[in-house]
Amino acid sequence: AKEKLNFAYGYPANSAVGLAVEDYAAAVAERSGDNVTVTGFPMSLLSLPETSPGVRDSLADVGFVLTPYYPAEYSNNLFLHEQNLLINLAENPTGKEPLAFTGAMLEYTFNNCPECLEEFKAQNQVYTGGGVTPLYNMLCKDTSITTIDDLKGKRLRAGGAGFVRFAEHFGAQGVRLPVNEVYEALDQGILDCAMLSAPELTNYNLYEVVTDITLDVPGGAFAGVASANVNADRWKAMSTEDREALLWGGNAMTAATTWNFYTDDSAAVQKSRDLGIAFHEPTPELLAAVKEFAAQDLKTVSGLFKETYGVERAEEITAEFAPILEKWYGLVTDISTKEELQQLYWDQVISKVDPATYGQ
Amino acid sequence: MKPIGKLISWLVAGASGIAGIMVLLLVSHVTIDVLMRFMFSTPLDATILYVSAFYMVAIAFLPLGLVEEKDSHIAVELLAEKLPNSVQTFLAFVALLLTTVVMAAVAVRTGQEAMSKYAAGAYSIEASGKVIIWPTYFVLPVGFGLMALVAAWKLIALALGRDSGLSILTVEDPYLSKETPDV
Amino acid sequence: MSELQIAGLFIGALFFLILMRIPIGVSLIAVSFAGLWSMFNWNIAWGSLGIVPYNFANSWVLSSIPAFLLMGFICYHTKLTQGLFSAAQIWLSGLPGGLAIASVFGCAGFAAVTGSSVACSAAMGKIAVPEMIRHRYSAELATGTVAAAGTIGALIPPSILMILYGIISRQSVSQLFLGGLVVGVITLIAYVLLIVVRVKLNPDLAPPVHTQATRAEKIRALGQTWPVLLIVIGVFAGLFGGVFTPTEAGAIGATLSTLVALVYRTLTLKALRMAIVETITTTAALLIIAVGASLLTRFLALSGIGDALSSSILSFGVSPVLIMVGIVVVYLLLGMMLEPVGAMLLTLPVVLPLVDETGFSLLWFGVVLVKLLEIGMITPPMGMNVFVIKGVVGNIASLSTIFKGVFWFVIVDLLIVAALIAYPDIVLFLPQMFAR
Ligand code: NA
Ligand code: NA
Repeated sequence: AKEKLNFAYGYPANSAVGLAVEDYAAAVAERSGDNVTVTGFPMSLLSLPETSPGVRDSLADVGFVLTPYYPAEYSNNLFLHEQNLLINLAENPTGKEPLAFTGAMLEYTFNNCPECLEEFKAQNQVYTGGGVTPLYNMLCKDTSITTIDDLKGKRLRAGGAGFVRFAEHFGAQGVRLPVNEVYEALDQGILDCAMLSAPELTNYNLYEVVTDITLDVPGGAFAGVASANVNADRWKAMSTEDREALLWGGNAMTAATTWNFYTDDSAAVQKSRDLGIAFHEPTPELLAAVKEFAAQDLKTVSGLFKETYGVERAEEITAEFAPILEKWYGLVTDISTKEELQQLYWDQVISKVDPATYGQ
Repeated sequence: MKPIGKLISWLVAGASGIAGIMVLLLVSHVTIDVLMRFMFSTPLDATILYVSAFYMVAIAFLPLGLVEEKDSHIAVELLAEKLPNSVQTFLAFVALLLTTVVMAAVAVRTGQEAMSKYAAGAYSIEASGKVIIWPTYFVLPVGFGLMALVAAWKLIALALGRDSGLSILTVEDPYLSKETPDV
Repeated sequence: MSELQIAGLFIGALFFLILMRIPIGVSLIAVSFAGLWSMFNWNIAWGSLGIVPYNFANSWVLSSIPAFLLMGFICYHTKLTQGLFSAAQIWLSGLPGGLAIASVFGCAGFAAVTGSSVACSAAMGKIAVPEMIRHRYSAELATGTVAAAGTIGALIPPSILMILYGIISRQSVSQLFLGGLVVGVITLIAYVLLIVVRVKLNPDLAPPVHTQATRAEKIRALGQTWPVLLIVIGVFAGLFGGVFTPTEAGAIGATLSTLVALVYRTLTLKALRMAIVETITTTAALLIIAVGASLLTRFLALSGIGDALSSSILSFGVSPVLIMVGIVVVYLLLGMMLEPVGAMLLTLPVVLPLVDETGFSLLWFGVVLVKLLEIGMITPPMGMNVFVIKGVVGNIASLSTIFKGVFWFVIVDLLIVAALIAYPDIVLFLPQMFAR
């Protein structure tokens, strides 16, 4: 039968995610021979925190779900996201770490983390794709961060508990503010810097207030993304062919989300340079201290999630995940287009998922 | 009628009392956070979570029963006030019936959601650690439930043509009190 | 029946219920629920009831509404506002409708502090309306003035709506703010002129206040304004001095009012209790409507109204100005039913490409859009600003009275919108002057 699916995502239509949803719709239509059509709903249907329960209760058939909104429901998935600090420990960073992290997380979730898939199942959802943002940087107004001392006493916008730990580790204050208030807070001087990825310069027009940028401090990336979760009832009622088309779409969504963020990152950095915003290199001491913090915080997080947040296999997951990420660093080195990335994720991971049995 | 009306009013006052305390907490929490951040460079942890999930949710929904008791839900009189009295009584009846049914349904549904949050042990991860948030979900069935209860009781009173016995809390106006007799 | 026809049917039902004096919040929730049920199935309708209310109220930005309400109620119940208006009365006695004019300026002042017009109306409603009534202003003029003047709140920066538009359309927020500042000031002047003209034509609206005050009395009256001035200056200084954000400003204002009332020795336990009771009941009465409106937005989104909108806009014609007229008409109609954020999220994905094609700049459109959405805040049947004023003034005026009171302000607003379309440079000259 003809299937019409509604895809809800809490971002504007022309954002990295909105453009990825267009790719998703095109990929699904093409693979299913136009049997499955997808309509995107930017922001109006479900807000970001509503997307997970909204897909669960069929308000949307597919949704861009951010797991950090629901730590109790998604503690194992969230723990995988928390591994993002591993990026800071990469031996020879190439800038493609987010592409690799996406692949590693996709592979680990599908193949090695039954409890992760179980969490989605408990929310009446079927996971078909992920995605990772670029690295976090220091976006500052009238202050520059290059040394460890520069961080002391600064007011830094912190998006989550990990960023507050980072700020406190370096003697700064972690100020919790919603991202859409960062513009005014920087402008008024309530914040010295915001710890955000470069595309947010474009998304929230932070160009207008930011004067100084230090790249790769604090590092890490946002990976708590299930970019194309399908309502489980809907999934089960579909033919195997249609489900295969949705897996193909989830793959396209994963690649497009990650790739769009990746290219937005370089575009935002270039635009900032053109506008005359000052870029600062962190000193080797600061970079070393950031690495040291990452290594220490990964241990902290592992302990926290095992003891407080009920992730029983925390140590095992940490041990298994790192080598998979290392493998992916190698796999993405030659990737230079979105299509190559899509092919890589498909060949390595999603093509091996059996649409006849998955998500049942 | 009286004792039941009193009991309902008492429940409504209890819920509103909690909401009132939450308003004071909201204002003081934010003020202290601003002061700590500005003067002592040590902002409080999780202010946004407390303000939005704890205070705001309580302030939004716990007083719904009181609003219904005071007849303060916003409605348009424009056309209705021109209709004959008998029709107006009928409309009041329909309004109370619809309020009872709709609010009871929302109370049941938000109650289910609260139970599932309780089962999941919903929490938020803050810098200071785990903050349990599932109790905030129970505010909704309580608030919507009280609104349904008050409306149902007013409906019964209207149908029987008797006084509901609900105590109507009035807010005095300081400028219209004895002190300024010239107004 | 097509999904769009179903949507039309349920919108009709909504109008009917509201006109039959069914509480607006209940009507919105009932219609959205029934609409989702009949268009799709029980599960979707039932699910939406569980998701939307909690997530809507669970909001940091919304917290400024009870905070500003509390500030207004405390100022009122502890009589801090009295001095301000006796000064206004003495100083503005020569002007027709002097107190109403003072209220418009008061709203503009609050607009610079808060980002939402609901917060703006909430703060000014309790301060200004009862004082005007005390001076025998007509309830219509008193309430209508403050409800309309509240809309300046989202035009003069900071503005939540402009920040949201900037994010969606990728326009510069500071340029939007500059454009909004101009339109906000134009609105302010136009409202003042309107009040003067209306009171000249019909002096009964605002009886002239006869005071032959000496210079010394005038100065003394100014001295009595210090409590409210202290609060306002405190909030301003903190906001521009980088001490707190616009969202936090409400809480700081409420705390300052309490402290000033304490110093002024008018803070009684009873006054505080009154202020709190009014704050929570007003907040709850407003938020249940906002929750209902949010549910209605989801129903309309799923009905596929977006495509219908773009075709109905294009049906106005193909010339840029006609398309723009179509857009204005669509937003005026939507503004009757929806609150601004919902209307924006629902329509921008289809409207932005249309605007782009007409050749009008997206920056200009952002400012005009906010003006249009703010008009929606005071048009019946769903006018959130009017509801706020109703909430804070209680039995002084009925909802119909307030809607009548804003009528002339809406007419003036429409003239302003027409001028902005005819002369886009009104919006653009200031942003262009400061362009980076
Ligand atoms: Na403003
Ligand atoms: Na309206």
